[in-house]
Order: sequence, then structure tokens, then C-alpha cells
Amino acid sequence: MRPFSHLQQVLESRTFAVTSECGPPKGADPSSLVRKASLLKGYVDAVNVTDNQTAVVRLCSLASCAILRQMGLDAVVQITTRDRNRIALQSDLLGASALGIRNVLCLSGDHVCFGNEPGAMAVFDLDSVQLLEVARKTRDQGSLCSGDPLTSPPKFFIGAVENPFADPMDFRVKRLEKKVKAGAQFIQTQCVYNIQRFREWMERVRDRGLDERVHILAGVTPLKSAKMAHYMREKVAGMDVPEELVRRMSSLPAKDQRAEGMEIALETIEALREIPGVRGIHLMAVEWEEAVPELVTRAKLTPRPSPHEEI
Amino acid sequence: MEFGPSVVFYPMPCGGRVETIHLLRALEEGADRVVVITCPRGQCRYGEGNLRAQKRLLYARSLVREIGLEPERLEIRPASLGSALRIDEIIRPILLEAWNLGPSPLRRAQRKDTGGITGDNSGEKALR
Amino acid sequence: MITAVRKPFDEIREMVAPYESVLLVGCGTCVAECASGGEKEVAILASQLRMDASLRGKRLEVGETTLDRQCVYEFIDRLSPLVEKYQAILSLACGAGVQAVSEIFPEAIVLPGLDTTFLGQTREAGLWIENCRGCGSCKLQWFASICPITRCAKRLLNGPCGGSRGGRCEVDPEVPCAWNMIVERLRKVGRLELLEDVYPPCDWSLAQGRGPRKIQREDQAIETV
Repeated sequence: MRPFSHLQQVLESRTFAVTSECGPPKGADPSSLVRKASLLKGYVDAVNVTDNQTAVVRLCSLASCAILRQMGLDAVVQITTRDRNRIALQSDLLGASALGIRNVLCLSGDHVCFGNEPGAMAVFDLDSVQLLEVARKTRDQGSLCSGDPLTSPPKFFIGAVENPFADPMDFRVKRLEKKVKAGAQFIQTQCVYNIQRFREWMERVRDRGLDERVHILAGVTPLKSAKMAHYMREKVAGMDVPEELVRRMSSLPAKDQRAEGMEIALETIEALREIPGVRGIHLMAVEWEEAVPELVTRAKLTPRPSPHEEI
Repeated sequence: MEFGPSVVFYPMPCGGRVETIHLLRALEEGADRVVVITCPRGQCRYGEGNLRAQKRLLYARSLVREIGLEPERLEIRPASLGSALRIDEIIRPILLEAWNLGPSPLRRAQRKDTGGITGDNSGEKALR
Repeated sequence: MITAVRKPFDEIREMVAPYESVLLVGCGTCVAECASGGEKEVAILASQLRMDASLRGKRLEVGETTLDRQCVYEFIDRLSPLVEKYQAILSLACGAGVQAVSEIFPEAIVLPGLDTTFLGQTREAGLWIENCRGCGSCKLQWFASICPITRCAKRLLNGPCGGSRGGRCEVDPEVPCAWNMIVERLRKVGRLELLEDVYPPCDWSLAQGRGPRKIQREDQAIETV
């Protein structure tokens, strides 16, 4: 079967893939999004746009991805189940496909209480696993969740997220298996700082044969400062930042911390490339998109394969 | 046991028998000050009756605050540890303390309505 | 039981402000259990209202009564002799009781003294926890008797999510992650395989109904001769 997207093409050709993400603005003017995306062009195989991340209302992922598409990028639309029922979700899946968006990432989403509309009703009609199944059903069976047929099926490469560092640790691999069973073809993980723990997770993943059934891209986020390292270690749920990294960042004066963050990211990328079953990296350089071209270049991951015409 | 016309004395078998409503009703009936005297901490003969009295009194204070009355009109005094005093020996010093909240605004309000309750009326609940 | 909490006193005061006489009606079942609307709570609120009115120089007669249950017509009927003696009724029942009373006495002003909250259990003295959301399609047998719809903040049926940390929910560290509990319990009884298949989407129509839901039982109905 022909790959649906450039990203799928890259992964299936066993080239080590590179994806990244853009955060859309908290407003209707897309120029900041366009600026960020143009920094990434040529250095990544596909670009995700987050979907009202941390429940903060932003320009929606679907519209943002349509804009990225116009710029010639392979876009990954992120869809959370927090804000939409199955009617809207399936409708958006059709919309994404109609707009030429060929990668879909299915997530549950952060709870409404974290965002700027805490009084909103949290929908969660489906969870991320059910959404994966529904996405696959619309694509492969040409029908809705209820079984009602579509006049034409959508086309996309389906992905999900997994957090190797959240609890319960050993159940995480079972959950990954469930997502693959449901329809996930690629996975982007939470950003990796604890390489050893990630290696252990990948070992369990390989034991279950999952590395042969799904493409795993490991998340990498360069640390901008010691403060950021500290914050992520203490305050962010499901994140594992080893003490030594925080110390390493704190031991330097502020002006040198960014460079050190880059060094750590490069070491992480190199270590990840050595792990069997890791098929690529997902660079989440939040509000630091300029770091991506440098990282990709210094990690010797350029040039990226050029996208084929109209997939 | 008599303490004069200004003191109403309610003996109870245990602090645990003091309910929030008793405290409110005492104020409603015109008490300026309500003092609950319990056994010392750790010495309730029934277990934790004195602790329950404490919790209920704190709750009653919040209810009293809601209607704009001074919560300090409700007090709880565990008798000091090892005291072998008679109840009047415990109460008299309390009555002699400087207490400056004055008559309850409720009495003034009630006096307007009904012709009033005279006298300086602190209601006390005391426990052995 | 159905749990509820007493409304803020200011709100209650404002509700009864237009009236010179009000009948407080408590309920002896759920709201008595969670100490918000039983006989004791009726007495307490009545005392507060009387003192408050007195302090404000306002005339207010406050009656007190408590029904065994305020959601059943047979018990509500006992209010009949009292209702016309007061200008308003302040019900300390859950929303079901307030409305049931209002239906039997449609000309009466029936006011809610409580904010109805959730279906739950008394975990220990003074602590009530939500544990059921009335989804109309109980699935507890699949989840080791831990309801993911109620106790998972995202009502995941294929959890846990990525935010579970130290067995706690990302939303509130005081709240245990329901999925962590489900996995652990199933692991303990050797039934983790129950979680291997994708649990399909819920039929929410059973939970939301078409408007208010109802149950009708012919075998229970009485024919009036």
C-alpha cells in the first residue's frame, strides 16, 4: 500500500526520521506560526501542530496544519478528545484529509483545569485509544464509529503518543500494545532525559515485538536553562529529568546554559540513535524553534530526504 | 450549684454531648458568653468527648460569624491537667477574667422587639 | 447516597429576604447522612436565621420539620397541614427532593437550601467521596469495581493517561489515579488480561437520555379503582 504521507514514506524506507512541532498563537493572526514553520522547513520530515495544549485556547491545530500544508510542509494534526465528541472528531478527521493533511496524532489531552477556560465542559466522549480505532475504521472500512458508511474514506497515517516515564511503568508497554492494536502506526514519546530508563522501556517494547509493528520516534527537548530543567523535574507530571542534568545546567552561568542544553540534546540524540527499535526523533523545542536547524545539522541528520510530489 | 443570676449552668455527662445547636440556642436565648468546660486533653473518661466538643465549638463559631455575631462569644476551656478542683473553683476565675465583648447585640435587638431580658446574662455550660 | 452542601448563608438570607415566615424542611436520608440537611442541620439553620433576622431588625418566623425522605410523594403529603401556614418553604433536601415537594405543592414557593453535589460513599466520619456518575450502563465488572467514568478525571476506558505520577492524578495530587488502582487490583487477582482489548466507546445516550431519564415499572404501579 502506498504511504499516505511523506513521514510514512521516510519511516518505511528505514531512514531515521525527524519531526518537530509548532505551537500556534493565542490569536487569529497566523504569522508567528508561519515564521516558526519556515525555520523548520528542510530540516524535518513533518511538523506537528499542538491542539489547545494544556487546555489553553489557541488557533486550532486543523487550521494551522492547513496553513503549513500551503507552505509545502508535511503536517501532523494533533487531535485531543477533551474538546470534541465523536461527531466533531470524525468530522475533523474528514476535514483534515480534505485539506491534504496526511498525518493524524490521537491524544486524550490535558485536563481543562490547567487551561484558561477552567469552567469548560470536559468532553472525553472517546479516549485516545478509541479515537485511534475510529480513525482507522474511517480510513480502512470507510465507515463511522456507528457503522454508518462514508461516501469517501479519509486518507492518513495514524499516530499516538506514549509516555515511557509515567506510572505504572510496566503497564505502559501493554498500553502501547493496545494503541498499536487499535491502529497506531507511529508513536511520538514524551521527551527523553533519562536515557537508561528509556533503554529499559525499549527493551520491553522489543520483547513484545512492538518495534516491528509501530514506528517509534523518541521525544527530545533541548533545555534552555537550569531553571527550565528544575521546573520540568519538579513540576511537570510524567517527566523524568535526572538530578545530574539539573546539576550540570546549574553549574554554569546563565549565559552558557543554552549551549549546554544543546550539548545535552545532541548527546541524547546520539544515544537514541543507538537504541534498536527507535526509528526517529521528535524535536519539541518549545518557543525555541531556532534550535532545531542547529540540532539537526550538528547531529548530522541533514540533508533530509526530499518530499515526493503530491502524496 | 449557684453562681448568681448572671450565670446559667448546664452540667453535662461529657463534652461529647455538647452539640452545635446547644451553643447556637444559648446565644439565641440571650447569652452574652458561652463557656464549655471539658476534661483535660487525654483525660476524657469516654475517650475523645472533649475533642468532639472542641470541633463542634469551632464549627459553631463559623456559623456565628456567618450571621455577623462575634465568634469569641463561644469559648472552650479544657480544665488544666491534674486539677483536683471543684467545678466552682474552675468557674470562678473565668467569671473574674476581664471580658470585654459586652452584652450580645441579640439581646439589644430582642429588647427592641419583646421588652427585653434584663441583667448581665452569661450562659455557661460546665462539665465535670 | 446523594451528597449536598448547605448553600452559603448570604445566598440563603437573600432567598428568604422577601418573606416573613419560612418553613425549613429537612430530609432524613442522604442529606442527613452527609450532615447537610437532616433534622440537626434544620435546627442549626433555623437558629441562625432567627438570630440573623433579629440582628437586622427583620421579622422572620421560622418553622422546622423533617421528612423521612423528601423524594417520595407519600412522605411529602405529611407537609400538607403546614404548607399554607408559611409564606415560603426552604427545603434542605437534594434537588430531587426540592422539586418533588414543589410538584406536590405547586402554589408554594419552594427554595433550595442546599447545593446538590454527587453520588458517593461515606469513606470515614466527615469524608464523602464521589464514586458513581449514573452512566446507566455499569461496567464495574471490567474494571475491578473501580469506576473509571467517575474516578478518572478524563473518564478514560483505556487508561492510564501520560500524566499519572506516583499513583496520583495529574489534576490533583490528592486524588489517586483510578487507572493505577485498576491495574494494581487486576494484577493482584491475576486478571490483567481484562485490559488487553480496546474497550469500545461508551453509549452516552444511556447517561444523558433524551431530556430527563425515567424508569417505569408496571408491576409496581397501583391501579386506582
